[in-house]
Amino acid sequence: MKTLGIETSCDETAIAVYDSVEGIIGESVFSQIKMHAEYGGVVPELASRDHCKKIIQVFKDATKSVDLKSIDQIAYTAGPGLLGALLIGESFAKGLALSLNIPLIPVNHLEGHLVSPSMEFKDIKPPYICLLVSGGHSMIVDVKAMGEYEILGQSVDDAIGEAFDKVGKLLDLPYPGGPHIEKIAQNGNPFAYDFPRPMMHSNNLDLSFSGLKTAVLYKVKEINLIDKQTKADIAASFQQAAIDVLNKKIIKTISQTGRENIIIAGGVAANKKLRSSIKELELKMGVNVYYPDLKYCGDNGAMISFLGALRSRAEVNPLRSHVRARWPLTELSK
Amino acid sequence: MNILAIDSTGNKTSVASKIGDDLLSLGVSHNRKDRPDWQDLLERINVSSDDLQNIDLFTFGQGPGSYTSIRSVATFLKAIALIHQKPLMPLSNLECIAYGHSLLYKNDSIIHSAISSDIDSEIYYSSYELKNSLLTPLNHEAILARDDLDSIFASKRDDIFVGNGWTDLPDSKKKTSDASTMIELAMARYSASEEYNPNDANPVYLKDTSYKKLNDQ
Repeated sequence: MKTLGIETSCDETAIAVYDSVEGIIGESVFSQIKMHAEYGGVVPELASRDHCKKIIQVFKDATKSVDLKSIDQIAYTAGPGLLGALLIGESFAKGLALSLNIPLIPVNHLEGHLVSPSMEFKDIKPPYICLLVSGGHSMIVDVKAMGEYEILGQSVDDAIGEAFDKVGKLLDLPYPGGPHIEKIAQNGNPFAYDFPRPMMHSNNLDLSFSGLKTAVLYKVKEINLIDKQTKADIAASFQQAAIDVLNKKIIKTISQTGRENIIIAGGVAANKKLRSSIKELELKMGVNVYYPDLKYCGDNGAMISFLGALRSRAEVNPLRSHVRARWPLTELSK
Repeated sequence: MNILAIDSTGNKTSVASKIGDDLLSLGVSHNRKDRPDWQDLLERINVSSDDLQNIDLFTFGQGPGSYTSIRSVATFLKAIALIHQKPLMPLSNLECIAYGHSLLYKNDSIIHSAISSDIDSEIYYSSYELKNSLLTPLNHEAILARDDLDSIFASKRDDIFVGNGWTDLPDSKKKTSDASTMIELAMARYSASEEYNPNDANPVYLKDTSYKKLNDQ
């Protein structure tokens, strides 16, 4: 069975085709990062315009080796995300489904990230813990079964990716800040500045990154003239603080739940320092740590097509739009 | 030529089909929270999924108007036209309104078209010259202030004014665009030598400067 997946929840126009036997047989992603970089962040209206403009080319690239008549169903991200951007994916999906006379499956973007590692690592089956870290989300989720998710902890303020972007801005780094902070941090001393580790020792599994970001702001103001090495030291110290918090919370999660499989997903999962830090837990705690391939850390159509295949033939009411800017995981049912 | 048109530029969505000599149309209201299901609308004008392959030309209102609904319709029809390998023609709804009234007027008439947007209280304007049953734009479509519009109205008394953007017009001239007029305009505008590539069929945006770049701040 072949499922075409469409992802347009934020600033990536992405389409992929998942074959339940062969896996991903076609995929394409167009990132709008360059366009939004000029504004220092994602401009929702511009994101919608660009999705509308680029979606045909992305579709053609993703399906160039796929017989369109062999596609059995269309899955698309219905939320959470930017409403205008989501509507582009849904509208295109509806046009395809109507023309090809095949079912349409609206899926949850976060659930796509949660289940996507199973697409790459066939031996991963729930239950497992997923640390979902991106520009929009920071959460620790207990994936008990397909469609059964418990959010054990989440950020009470900024998402971690958002904090990386904001600190990047403070250090005059290009948008998005995450990859640039990681790059210059390689030449910095992670212990040069003792930034706070908010909520690291709290009893719950919630996270907070706003205070850490503010601490960097004050430090930048205090230093005034920042040379290259100081910038690298600040980036490294900030990154270390953020990773320390995540690391500690994952250790706490493993202790509380007894889960043996840990998955790190989302755009921030591309951070190599975070990857190696959590990977060390394999030896320390006897757990298995998995990461998606780098190309699947950010938003992508592959995870949506894979999730669509899992939710195959779901009951869909075609008479209404399904997009939702907010769609908590906890509302998903089996 | 069989044509399917969707117009969502104003405060309603209208669909129309011309299959052979039969013209069917339907309009429903829409808003941000209540978005109509196009498949349902198409079925209500007797266009099923299987009938789409018999459509020769798809067309839609590209604005100016509500970006979100125009973009949604454009993207929906992009997918359909792409799969069926058919042309997709975007049409200005200002021109569509002017065209809807043009049959009543003689050659060389100047028609001023203005639309008042319910959503953001803007007035969209353009003017056209009528030549051999076709309209030639005389200026770029633009958002105008009420005062500017009033001065055009006062200074061009011999011209023709249409659309709901003008305050002192009889209701018969305030008719907004709809999908059935779009079919008429598409038939008049269609040229077999043009491609009408679905990839190029995009909404028109009259506000491109409302976002500040970092180096402008």
